[in-house]
Amino acid sequence: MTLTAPASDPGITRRPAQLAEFRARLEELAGRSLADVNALHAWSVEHVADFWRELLRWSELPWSGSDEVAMVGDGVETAQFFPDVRLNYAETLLQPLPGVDDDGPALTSVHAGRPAERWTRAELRAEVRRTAAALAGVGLRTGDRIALIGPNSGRTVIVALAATALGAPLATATPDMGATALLGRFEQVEPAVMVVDRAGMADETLPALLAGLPTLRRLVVLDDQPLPAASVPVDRFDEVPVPDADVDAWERYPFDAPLFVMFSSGTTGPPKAMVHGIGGTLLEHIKEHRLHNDMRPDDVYFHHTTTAWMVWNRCLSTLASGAHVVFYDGPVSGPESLWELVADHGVTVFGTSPAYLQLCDDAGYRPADSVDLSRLRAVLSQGAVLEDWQYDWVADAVGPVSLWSSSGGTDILGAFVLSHPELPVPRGRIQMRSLGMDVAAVDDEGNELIGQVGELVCRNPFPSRPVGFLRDPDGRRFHEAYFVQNPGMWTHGDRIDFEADGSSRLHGRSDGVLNIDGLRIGPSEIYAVLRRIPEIADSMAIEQRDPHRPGALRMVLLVVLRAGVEMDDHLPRTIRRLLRQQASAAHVPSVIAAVPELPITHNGKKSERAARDAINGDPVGNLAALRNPGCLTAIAAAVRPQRGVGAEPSRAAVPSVGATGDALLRDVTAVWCGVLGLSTADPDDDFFDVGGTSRLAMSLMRRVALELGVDVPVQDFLQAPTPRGLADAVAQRASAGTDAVPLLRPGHGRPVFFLADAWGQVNSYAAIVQRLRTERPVHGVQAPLVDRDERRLSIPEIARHAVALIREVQPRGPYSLTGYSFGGLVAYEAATVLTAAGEEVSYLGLIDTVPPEAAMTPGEVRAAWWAHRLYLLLREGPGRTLLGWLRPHRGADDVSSEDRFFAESSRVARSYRPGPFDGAVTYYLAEDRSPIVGNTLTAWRRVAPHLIVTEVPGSHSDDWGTRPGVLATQFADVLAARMSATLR
Amino acid sequence: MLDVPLDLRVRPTRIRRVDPSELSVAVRLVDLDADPEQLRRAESVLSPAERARARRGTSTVHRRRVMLRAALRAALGNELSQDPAAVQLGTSASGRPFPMAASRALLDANCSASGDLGVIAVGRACRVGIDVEGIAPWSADTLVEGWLSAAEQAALQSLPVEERALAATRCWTQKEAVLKARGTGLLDDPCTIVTPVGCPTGVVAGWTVEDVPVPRGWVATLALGPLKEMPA
Repeated sequence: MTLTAPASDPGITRRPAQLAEFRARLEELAGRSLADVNALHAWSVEHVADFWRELLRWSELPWSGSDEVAMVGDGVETAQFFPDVRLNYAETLLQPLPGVDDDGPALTSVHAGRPAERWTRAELRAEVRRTAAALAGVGLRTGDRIALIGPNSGRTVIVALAATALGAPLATATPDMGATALLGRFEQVEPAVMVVDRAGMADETLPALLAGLPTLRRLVVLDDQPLPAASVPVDRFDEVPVPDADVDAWERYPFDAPLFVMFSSGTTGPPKAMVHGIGGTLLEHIKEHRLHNDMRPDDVYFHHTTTAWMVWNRCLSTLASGAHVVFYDGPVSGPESLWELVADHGVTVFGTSPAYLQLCDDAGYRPADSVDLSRLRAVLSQGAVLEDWQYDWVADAVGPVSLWSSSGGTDILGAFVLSHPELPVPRGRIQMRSLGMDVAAVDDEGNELIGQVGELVCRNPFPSRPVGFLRDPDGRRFHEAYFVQNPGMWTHGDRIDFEADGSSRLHGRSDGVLNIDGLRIGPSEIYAVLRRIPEIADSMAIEQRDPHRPGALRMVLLVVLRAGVEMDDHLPRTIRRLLRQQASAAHVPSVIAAVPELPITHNGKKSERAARDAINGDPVGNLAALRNPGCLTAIAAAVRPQRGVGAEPSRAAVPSVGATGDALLRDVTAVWCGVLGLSTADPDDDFFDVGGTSRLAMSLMRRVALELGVDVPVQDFLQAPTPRGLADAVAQRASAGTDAVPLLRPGHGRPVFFLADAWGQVNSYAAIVQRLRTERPVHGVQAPLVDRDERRLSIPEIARHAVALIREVQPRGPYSLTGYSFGGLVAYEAATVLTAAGEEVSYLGLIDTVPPEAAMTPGEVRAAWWAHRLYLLLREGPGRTLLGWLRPHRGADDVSSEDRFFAESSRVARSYRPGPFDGAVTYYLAEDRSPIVGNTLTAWRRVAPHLIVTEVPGSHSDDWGTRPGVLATQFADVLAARMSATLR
Repeated sequence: MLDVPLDLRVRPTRIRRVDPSELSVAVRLVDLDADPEQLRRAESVLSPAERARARRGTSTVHRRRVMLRAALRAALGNELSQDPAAVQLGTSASGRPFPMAASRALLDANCSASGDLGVIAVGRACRVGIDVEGIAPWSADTLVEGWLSAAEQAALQSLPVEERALAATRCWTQKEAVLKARGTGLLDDPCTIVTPVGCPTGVVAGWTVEDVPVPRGWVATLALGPLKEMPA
């Protein structure tokens, strides 16, 4: 196990962690040592009331009343904490603290393009008090809900704290969200007052909000634009009069009084509006900040977030620990943006997302070499799973800091698993369970699993459980959201594994929700539609790794038919049509398979997990829990197995084509009519004569691929845009060869092979292939990039498969191979493999294949990093792209599987070490490149002495996409001509 | 007939080797809905080949083709001070209509229709492509229809869901406008034309693209480039 440095090191002498101090108090109560992390956690959940009472006392929060009763009842869903304690959120955050300089910085608001603003603790308290008085002056009363739409700036923070000071429940969002999304949230909130900053807000948003929020009594604008026309009184924030009456002491409210309204993201339908209470939020955040992250008054904390993500609310609470908190409302214009901010403001704890770390890694940016990070002690990561190699990258490129991943959610406004300030961080894992929370991985029967992936549950009550949902008077939606699947437990909807040491790792969403192309789909909406189809007795929607799109998932629908009903051509179409009409296109499955029965556990629950493992060809984890394990064989057989390593490359299957073309024509016509909305079609109808458009042609090709399993290029279709022509094109493509070696252009003689790119695709070569002046046939080579376990294959492994595929088409040399970037590396490796096997490689073309870092000397690597960074800064538009990548409020679905897949390809490419190749190599060098690439070609020359370099127009732009790359159509003529000259 | 001329002055710096004072694009929106009398009058300015092609379509397609082609002729006739029926139109191999050499006078034209909305662009001293499309509801299917590059797919997915329908449709009209300006249509892979997702203007594959104001529910893009790219 590789360890990153322990938390105690990085240059700052730290006192013993606050956890040690608190643990000593618990040990007094326990009468025994709790030094072992598991012993400490076990005590905290066995004595849950004592644990939280001791935390309340130790943390010295300002509260009144009595803490004698720490917990009423012991049900996870119903237990109530501290019924006799009253507190005020803003007071807790802003009170003078012993040992904390009231005139020291408490809040810094960093902006792009203008100076940062800073408030001392005393100034911030005064400003919040003044603002609270102003809000009270415009009529905000305790219990009124307030909607706040603002950027991640100091001013937004002040308004938010002022609202909480008054006991007005607060819901926040960012101005760049669309009106529909904002209304979906705030309609449920029924706000009395709304405060907005219109900078970055679309013109139509505010009128839509005003029209859609009839409960509003008052609007306050933070910006300087002209006041909007509105049916309610409008004030400019700076001009709201502050009443003289000095509100000196803030009123304290019951522990469970509502503080924040938060929204679940990503599920379909209106988001759940969850109400979090004052006391639960405070205790959870104090616990996380002070015990798990050891946040202290000498810390400077910056977490890259927006006001629409729960991390923002948790940042606010950091003020209660006396730390100085930094907020940033500007864009991320390059990998250096946030690291420079960290250095400039002396940040000691920096919170970010795996996506940003990966982006820095991919850009070759090394923060430790570029900025002064000597004060930084910890990097927090949230929002998605942190991959193993990212731990290595942080240790190497950032320095000896603790890398703390955590996972929880908006639902609990906190984390279930997170950091331990004293222990080393095991690579790729989250250190410990959240104190006071009985978190576990369980199987379908609710039994705890160790060392296996299971459902993430919490088995005891915890204070940060939502007080309830809005628009859920009887609590039914709340109950159904968390407490149905495992009675007596909070079921979170994530999959997780725990080791005996208490460390954990997340494994994505659990059975309930499908995540297809970044969209979360609730299967219950699918089942609701399918219940209306009388032929279907039962059904199950599950995810499968998509064999055609590496790294992506597709939806498979298993249906059990009623006795006497046979699966025919019509039923799948009916299913798809009804789902499209009554749910949405996203609910339409890629594959529909009839099966005799669905897997059921001994206690009668359907097991999506077992079915999913079966169709992916994975070992079924919960076989023993199934009543009918035999059904899995039939399920696996009904769904075409995924093509994995070692498996036979599957021939493109045309289900009903057989020997007769009529069946195929009938299928094609059905798809045709579906796309065009027609009831009948003649085999010779022209697509455009019957209302088709270019755009619809693309949809038609997609439907053909989905329903007939054959990819027909639209160019083929346009040659004869009729049902008959389409059926011919389908038949031709289906028989053109294995789909792993697609024929890109027919011809005579020895084939030319184009190796697939970093996405495993060959369509990026289309413009070149079309323009090649050669009679030879052109094939794409799509070797698998992942194995059955979704592990990424190395370049040599991919090349071995590629060679096998190439040899199926052309058993003996001489061979002609080429590829772009990643594909170039595979081509190079395949060429060395073929040469080693005694074959001749007559042509090897590397299209802008920058040598991998492993092949460069350290000096070359360093030079390339800097060059790439400068280059990114100079290029137009990358800020926008980066911002799109990073937008953190999108939560765990943030980084699409495609993005992650590409990032992993980059990693695979970078770790490749090319061996010697003695043959001729033609290198097509992008003209539009960072200046250093010319020098790094020496890395290629070291292994391939016969390298001929020729310049071609275009940029090396496979990742950022803002400038046309060397394969782009407008440059294809030159590249194709250069290649043709060699290939002829 | 609704016939709204919109004058879009082109920033001359983007176009080389043309006297900036000559350069202009006129865009018209055309209501393709027509009663039988309007349809008959429009049909009367079409050539026999155009009428025959229009009649091959279903009645809706027929009406759209007639109304759009007649409006194109009217627009070009206006530029050339000719009777619409007298305008000499040729058709390129890929089906793109263009004013014939004799009467071209540095003119280029392009048109597009979606539902009952037609758009016509007539460029003087520049090459034009135009495309209009009804905004289709967002569907994740769009991502995998094979016409969006990986970068565009990622950019679309990073947008809030409610913005994706417009953004994806605009990706399409920008690509299609460029492909039509280029004269290849879908014979070139639309994947290779990477658009600035979410931006109504920009430079796409070397062509300047701009949004054309159209009624709610549609999006239209104009692509412009130097005339010298016109194939011989």
